[in-house]
Amino acid sequence: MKNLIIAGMLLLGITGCNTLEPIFFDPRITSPAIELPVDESQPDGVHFVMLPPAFTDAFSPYTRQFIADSAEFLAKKQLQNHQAETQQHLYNAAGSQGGLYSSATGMLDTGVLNYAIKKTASDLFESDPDVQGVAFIHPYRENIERVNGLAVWENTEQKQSVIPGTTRATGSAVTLKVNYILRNGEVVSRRVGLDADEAQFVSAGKYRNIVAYVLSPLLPSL
Amino acid sequence: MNKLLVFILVLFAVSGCKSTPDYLNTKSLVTNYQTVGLVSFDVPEGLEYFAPKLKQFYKPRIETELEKAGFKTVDASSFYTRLKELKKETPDLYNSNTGQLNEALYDQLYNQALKETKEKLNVDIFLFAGIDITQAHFSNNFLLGYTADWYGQSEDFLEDGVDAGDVLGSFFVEKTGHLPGAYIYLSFKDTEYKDLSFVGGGIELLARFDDDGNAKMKTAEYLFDDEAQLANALDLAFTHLANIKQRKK
Repeated sequence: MKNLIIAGMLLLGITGCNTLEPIFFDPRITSPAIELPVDESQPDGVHFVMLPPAFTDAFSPYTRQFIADSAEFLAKKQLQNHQAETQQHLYNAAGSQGGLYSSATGMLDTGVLNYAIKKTASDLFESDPDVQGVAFIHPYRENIERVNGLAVWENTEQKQSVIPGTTRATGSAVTLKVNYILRNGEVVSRRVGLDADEAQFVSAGKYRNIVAYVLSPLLPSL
Repeated sequence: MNKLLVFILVLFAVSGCKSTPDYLNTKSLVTNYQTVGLVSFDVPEGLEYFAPKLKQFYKPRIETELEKAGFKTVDASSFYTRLKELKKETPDLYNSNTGQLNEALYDQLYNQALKETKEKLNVDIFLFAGIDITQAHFSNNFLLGYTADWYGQSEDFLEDGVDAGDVLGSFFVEKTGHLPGAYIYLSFKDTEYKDLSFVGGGIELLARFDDDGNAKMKTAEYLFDDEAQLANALDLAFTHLANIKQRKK
């Protein structure tokens, strides 16, 4: 009987609450690589900027992990990560027009945003002849459907959980709209699913596959 | 030995995993807090179209139910006017680069507005009410039928006219999942914005499955159109409030 009690306690201890929690998986790209119509060049790194509302509370955990995974991706390729300075360049450009957001109401000024994007891109192209493109990345939420725990949306798939039987669920996911502004003024847009999980399940390396898809078109030509 | 095994399994089931908040039921709320300030009736993004109708329907009914339960009610919507004034008077509430709210500063303003409203209106607690959307869980089996359940409500998850017999044999066998379900909530807060009670009553599903097994949103003319259904949701919420089992201290 004593053994049974121990077995029971072990069962409680081992199963705990985790059996009721879903298991989380990294998002994965399902589409072929993006190709940009740019000239061959040898920039020393990659320039990208996270656009509003990337750093508001609702998106900040996703954005910060995307930036961290980008840094890791570029470090492995021994390339400079120019995100921080390009981001600051955008803020400075916006600041000269009164700032992206009103500090009193938190309202975004889209006129200032458009000005800052153009100014950042043109300044970069002017200052560095090797820069062929800059990625301006705008995160947003959209409704998705998950079938058998698998969400498939905007060039991405992500399995959320392994549940016996068959399941269907609606939910929301964070998607990135990536605008590549090219030296010739052309804009190439792609939507890329980033994460169908809640923000608390963001973890290091989760966006490696997404980062590679988004940043690879800006890497130096071979 | 079998009894012990059953005992252990029951213990596991009863103990649960998440601790439930120590909410107060109607009786305890009335005993400890006589005057309720009705602050707001909010409707979530996406359902704004229904806001005037839902406010008009629910606000007087909530007031009546609270008074029937023994509360004195006061309109405390001036809280938001004061909060707005305080926000206007406060520089740098938002970061001009990132748009991030200075939460510590905002909380300070929020509590100040609550405190001032309490003193001005002489209220003991605040009620924040409204409509929200949650996941209505469904499972397809012979015992439970084809219903999704949330906040005491239950609704057929198949669109009208979809033949359960057909889908049984094909698409929906062993399917479980979630659909969006609307519910009314009553959130009682003390004057420091701490939770005293939170209850909800399910209204209706916002989406159901069609013949092909695709989730389809209900169109506007079929949403929140049944006053008996709306009233039933409020009854569910107040019944839930009355029946909260409090832990003995």
